[in-house]
Order: sequence, then C-alpha cells, then structure tokens
Amino acid sequence: MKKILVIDDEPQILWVASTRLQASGYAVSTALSGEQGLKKARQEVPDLVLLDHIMPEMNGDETLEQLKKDPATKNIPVIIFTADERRVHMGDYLSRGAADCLFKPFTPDELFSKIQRILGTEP
Amino acid sequence: MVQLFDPDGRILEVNFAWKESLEYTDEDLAHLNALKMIRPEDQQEAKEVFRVVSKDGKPRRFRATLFAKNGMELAVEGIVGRLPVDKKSFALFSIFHDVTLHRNYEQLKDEFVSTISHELRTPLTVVREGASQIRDELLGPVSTDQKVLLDMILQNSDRLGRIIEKLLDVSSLEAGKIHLHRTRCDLVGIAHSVIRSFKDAAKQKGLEFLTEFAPEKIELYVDQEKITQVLTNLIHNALIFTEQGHIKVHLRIRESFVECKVSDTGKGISKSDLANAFQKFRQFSREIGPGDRGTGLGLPICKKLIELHHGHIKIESAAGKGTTVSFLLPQHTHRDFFKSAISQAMTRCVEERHSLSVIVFNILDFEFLEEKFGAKQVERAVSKMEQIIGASLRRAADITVKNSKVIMVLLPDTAKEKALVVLGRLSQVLEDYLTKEKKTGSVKIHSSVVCFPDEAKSLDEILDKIYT
Repeated sequence: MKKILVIDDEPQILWVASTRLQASGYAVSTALSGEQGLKKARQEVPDLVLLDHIMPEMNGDETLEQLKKDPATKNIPVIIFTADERRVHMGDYLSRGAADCLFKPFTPDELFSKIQRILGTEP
Repeated sequence: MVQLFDPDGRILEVNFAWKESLEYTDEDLAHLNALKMIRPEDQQEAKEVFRVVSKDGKPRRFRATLFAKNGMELAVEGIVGRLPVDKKSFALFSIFHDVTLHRNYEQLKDEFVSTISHELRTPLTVVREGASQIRDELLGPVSTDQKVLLDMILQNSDRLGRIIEKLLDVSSLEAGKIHLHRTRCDLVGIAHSVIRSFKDAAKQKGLEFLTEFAPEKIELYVDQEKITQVLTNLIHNALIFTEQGHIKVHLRIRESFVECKVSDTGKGISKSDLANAFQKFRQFSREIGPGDRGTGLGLPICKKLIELHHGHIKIESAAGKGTTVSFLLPQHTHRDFFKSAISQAMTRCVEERHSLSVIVFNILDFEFLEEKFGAKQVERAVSKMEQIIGASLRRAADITVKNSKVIMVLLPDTAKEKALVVLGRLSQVLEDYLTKEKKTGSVKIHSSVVCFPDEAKSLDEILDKIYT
C-alpha cells in the first residue's frame, strides 16, 4: 500500500483529503504544520507528499526546500497543494523541485490523475 | 498642478492648484527645490528625467511622490517639458495631478483580490470535497433525491469557483499584469478544438454546430491560450442562451483583419442590456431555471483579451432574434510581430531605465531543411526548440517568440554580458537537443545578441540588426 503524507494548516482540508485518499486505498498520514510535516516525512518516508503552500510560520516554500535538502527525504515526490493565484506560481514551484501542482478547490479526478501520474495506478 | 523650475530644481513659478494641494505659501516658494520635495527613493529617477529633458527638450512622463508642507505624501503623475527663457537659457516645467487616492485604491484592490483567492478557495475546497464524498457514497448509501441536491451543491460550488477565477482574471487584466505570449497558430484549428469540447453539451440540448471557415487554415500571431479562452467563453454563452436551432462559428479574412463570428438562434438580448454587455457584473435579465448560469464577467474578459491583441469586439442582438458576437484581429507580418513583442518589452525597460537584451536564433538554410525533412517536420522541430528554450529560462519576465525560422528570446533588465551567459546556456540545450535527434550535422543555427540601448537605440535599429 502506498503512503501519502498531507501537510496543511487547515484541519478540515486534512480531513477531507485523507477520507478521499483512504477510500481509494492509500495509507494517509497528516501534519498540521511545516515542522510537523518535515518530522513525519523523515520518520515515515512516504511515497508522496501533498504540501499546502500558504501556512503560518514555516510555509510551503520553506518546507519544500528543507525536504529537498535532506538526503533522507529529497527523493520523495512533492505535489504543491495550493489556493494561490493560478499559473503565476506554477513554474516557480516546478523549478524548486515540486513534481506537480494541484489547485484548490480540486475535483477527485484532478487529485487522482496527478497522484497516478507519479505513483502509477496501483494504490 | 503646474510648476516652473530651473534645471537645478529652484522653483520659479507655480499655479494656484499647486499651492492649494501642497499647502506652501508664496514665502515658502523662494526656498523650495523641485527635487528636494520628492521622496528620497524617487529622487534619482526624477533627476535623470530632468537631465534628459534639459538635454533634448522632449517632454517625458513624470511620476513621483511629493512631500506637502504638512509632511503628507502626495503621489503625482504627469509630464516634464522644457521652455526657452531667452536665447541662452531655459526652464523646465511640469504639469501633474494628484493620483494618491487612485493609487491607494489600486493597492487595496490588489490585496483584496489576493486575499479573496486564498480565503474563499480554502472553504470552497472543503465544501466541494465534502459534498462530493457524500455524493460518491464514500460514507454510506445516498438516496436518489439526496443525490439531486448534492449534485446541485457540487454544480454551485464549481460555479463559485469559476467566479473566483474570473474575478482574478479581470483584476489582473485591469492591472495590466497579463502579457500576451504570441506564437504563430492556426485560428481554424483553435476553433475546431473549442467546438469539439462543447460537442456533447450541444448534443444534450439538441443544438447543431455550423461552421464556415474560409480559407481552411488561417495563421495569425496570437496568444493561443487567450484566444481559446475568448472562443470558449463566446460559445459557452451561446450554448446557455439558446434552446433550439444552431450555433454558428464563422471565420474569414477581411482586408488586413481576420474576422471571427459566433452567432446563435437563442433568445437574444434586449436593447437596454446590450448597451452594458461588456461591463462587469451586468448579467442580462433573463429567466432561466436551475443549472449553469454566467458570471457576468465573461464578455468583459473577452473584450480585454481581444483589445490586448489590438483587435475589436462587438455584439449584435435583438430580443428573440439570437445574438452575434464578432471580433476582428489584425494580421501581422513577421516583422510586425517581432516589432510588437520587442516594443512591449522595450517600453517596460525604458520606464524602469533598464537595458533589454534580445537573443536571436536564426535557423540557416531553412528552405533546404524543409525540402529535406518536410515542412511539417521542420515546423514541429522549431516549436520543440522554442519549448526547450522557454523551459531553460529562469525568470517569468523572459519570453520567447518565434516565426517559422527565427526564435527570439527577450531578456528585460539584462545587460549584454549577462545575456551572453544565457546565450551560452541556451546554445548548449539546443545542441543537446540536436544531438539527441541526430541532426547536428544538417541543422545550422546562427545566434546573436542585440542589447538596447547600448548597441541599438531604437526599435527599428534592433529589428535591422536582427534581420541582417
């Protein structure tokens, strides 16, 4: 079973995202902040990280930078999960090492097509 | 406000409005200096403007923040010019108006819009995804009646989402933050693909699509994504407002323009609504049941996008008689096209007093290549090369433009030495590509860099350098 770590400062986003992912057969781990997310990423080494961009204290950019710096986590693909203005940041994220971007609000189709492109169709 | 001052900045004369707004008295004037009244961070720029106007006498734009007597800051915009005093000496004058309120308002609006985008999308995500999970029965079975309501929640969440997107589009268009990325593309091809995306929706309503494209391929230098957006909007509107009959898409060449018409046999628009068709949030009075509704932003966005292409858009309709929206896009030659791209980048650089470097990759023996590999193949390869170059650029402001055999890279705010480094990097990626395709022997690319204003002082000089 593939494991996805979702990092977002909104508990309700974590709730809906994990329900959806679990229903499709993924193991899900969640974190409410960048710091907590980094810790979990190092401990659990998930197959994929869904990372919110705008968070208080350590935001998505810094979290991504830390993830990509640490040899233990640098190979985990990261999908930026954001409510920012579209397109504007897309290129930026990718050039900083993100594998893809998912924009909020998202549809289940968008979510799974991005995940499957990276992890393959098997959960 | 009007002020007259000598080249060193000593104020000579001001008008009544000036004294009123800045609150200085006649006694103060003797000690005032036009430069020192300017906020320190704007002084360097103003000094430079005064210097060049003193030198050549051509009026220039003037933008600065001034201090009034009471310490208040006043944002002003206007012009600076030169006036002869006698045979040997001259004075400078500037005419400007207070834009403080306007500027604060713009700033507030920008902040508001970016807050909206984040603060509305997050709750919307939870609402949409929550409803969607119940609808998909992730939490247990749902009755048919409940599904109908859940579908409505989903449809309306999506509608809210679209309104947010369009609000952001309008606001960045109005702020002038959207720049076109023109490439050579086929309008007929764009029309076909947009129509295809609506085929099912039209079928469901029992509507027919009619097309009239003459000639069969109409190539223009446009921003493909933006024109697709315009056509999508127009056809979507036609579909919403038409219950029976057809939607017709018509493309043709009219003198130096390409005309595109989308007409329907729908309910039409009343005369009073028609006058406001291109204004924001003016939805037409209409009675429609549940289902998809417009955002009141589609046509205003289309108008802005067409105007960015230097085109015109108009709407004709009468209640009960259907609606026709048509737009005209100017046809450009290669040189015109490069000219408008360079001129856009140049304007920004001149305003900010930066240099602009233009890198040109010219594919040599082009006709020979077309003969050897086929025109289609060569076209694809040139597009691919443009993509590769685009992907290797590191700043959003750097853009690529191409025609069939020239790929141009515009690097605003870049001096020649830096541009040469970029050129080195780009040449390397192109070479890697050609090696991979095993074409290093047959494809020869000539590259060069022109830097404005050091090597070419005007737009035409840049173009001449590129074309030789």
